[in-house]
Amino acid sequence: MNAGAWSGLQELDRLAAGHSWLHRLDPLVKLLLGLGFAVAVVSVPKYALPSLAPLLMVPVLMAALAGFEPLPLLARAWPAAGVALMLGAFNPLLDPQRVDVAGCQVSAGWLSLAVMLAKALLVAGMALVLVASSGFARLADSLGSLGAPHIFVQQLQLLWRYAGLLAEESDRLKRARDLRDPLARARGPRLAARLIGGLLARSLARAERIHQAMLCRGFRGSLPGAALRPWGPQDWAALAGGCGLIGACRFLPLVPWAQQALERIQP
Amino acid sequence: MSHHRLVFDRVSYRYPDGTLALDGLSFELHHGDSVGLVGANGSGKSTLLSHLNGLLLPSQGSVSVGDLPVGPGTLAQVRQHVGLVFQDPDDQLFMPTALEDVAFGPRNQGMTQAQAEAAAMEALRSVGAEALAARPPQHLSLGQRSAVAIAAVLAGCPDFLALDEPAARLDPRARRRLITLLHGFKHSKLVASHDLDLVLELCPRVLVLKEGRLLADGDSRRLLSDPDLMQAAGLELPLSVSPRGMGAGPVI
Repeated sequence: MNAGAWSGLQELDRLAAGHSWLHRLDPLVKLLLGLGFAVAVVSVPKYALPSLAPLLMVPVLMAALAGFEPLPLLARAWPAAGVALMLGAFNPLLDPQRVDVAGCQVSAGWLSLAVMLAKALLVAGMALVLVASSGFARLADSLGSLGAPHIFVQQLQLLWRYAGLLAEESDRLKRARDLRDPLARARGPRLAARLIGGLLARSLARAERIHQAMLCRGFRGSLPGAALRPWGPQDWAALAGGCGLIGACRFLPLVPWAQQALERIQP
Repeated sequence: MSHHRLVFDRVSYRYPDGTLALDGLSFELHHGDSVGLVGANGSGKSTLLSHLNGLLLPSQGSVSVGDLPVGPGTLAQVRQHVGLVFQDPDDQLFMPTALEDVAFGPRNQGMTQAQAEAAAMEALRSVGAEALAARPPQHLSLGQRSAVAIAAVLAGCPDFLALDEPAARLDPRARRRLITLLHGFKHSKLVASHDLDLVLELCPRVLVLKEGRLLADGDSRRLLSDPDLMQAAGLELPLSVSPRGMGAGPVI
């Protein structure tokens, strides 16, 4: 478990309090752009690694528009690589045909695994930019206004809050352990198992106290969502411009070297 | 129907592990009362507060708010009348921004978002925290979070305000601001605290608990100055009345 990674995710909500042009856009606009981006990324053929390169421009540009440093923010997307690795771990074995990549013959399975990794990192990076510029709760509300079931939206919001609690409690446990074991002599699977057990017990107790606080203030099982506001010209302009950019990055040969590389590696 | 009366009638509570936390407690609070609740650790203060709005229900006896008996069928109504401020503001604040958190209660009372936000801003203003409205609670100082937690409860316009260790972990200046703030409230208040000087300043009346039983109920200056009573309750005299504090009046 990496407490720092979770804490970093919670820090994204802090970034969402910014006042940039991107922050001021309706979260629904950003969510639609994020969904469009995800569709564009997923539609890239399984061996077309160079075709993904232009799409990197979209989250980088959005991060820059929000006033974030793109690289440190997008670097937080690495946990998505773990998921992609799990899903595509057997690709090199299942897809042994050979393709030429920069003069080297490699298994097409390795290429498709690389494409999966790149897709996961791109989509996760875009999700990070969206959360950092809107806040998770507002994005979830927007998902509800797109027709997602209320119970699903609410579960997402509660899951995010529980992840925050888990992060805080794990930070405290880790600090307590590090301070009393500076030479790292007592670390091992037994201690880790006990810490994880303690972490679950503590985070559940904390979640219970927060639930009690919610009940005290009239919570009856439904979180109040944000009211929809009418879109302004800047929202429509951002949606049109964003869709155009995503389409151009996906279908136009914007990066010549990527296009040439793509032509060479078609199996 | 008046809700400005809160009655504990022979309330006992036993936790599932068998611990008897409250043992036959009876007392009443009336409109405008400001009452301190003191006792050693484990004396039942937090358990008592949890009975005020039905987070816990008595094993024996009854609690009523005005004409409403606190029970499974009346919790929603009772919780509109009794606001509980938790000891740790982090247990209470959970929305992305202070404004949304304070507006959570009013939204649950059926207000529109605009009405709820107006009520929330008013509550934040009343605790001097309107400038914090857009800030995420986890990035506020402890004193600021305590103020926002109180605003979150005030926004629901409760008749009774119950506070669990409101000054715990606050620095002296934040503690002083909190005392001034609470002095200004016209709500009926029940303040559970180990800070006996705070209780002396805020509460003319005090309930002294020991092992779940009511050891004394009366004038706070008289009871909290009684060395034998304090000894029996597992407490010490407040600094402002003890020789250690050189009898120098309220500590500020």
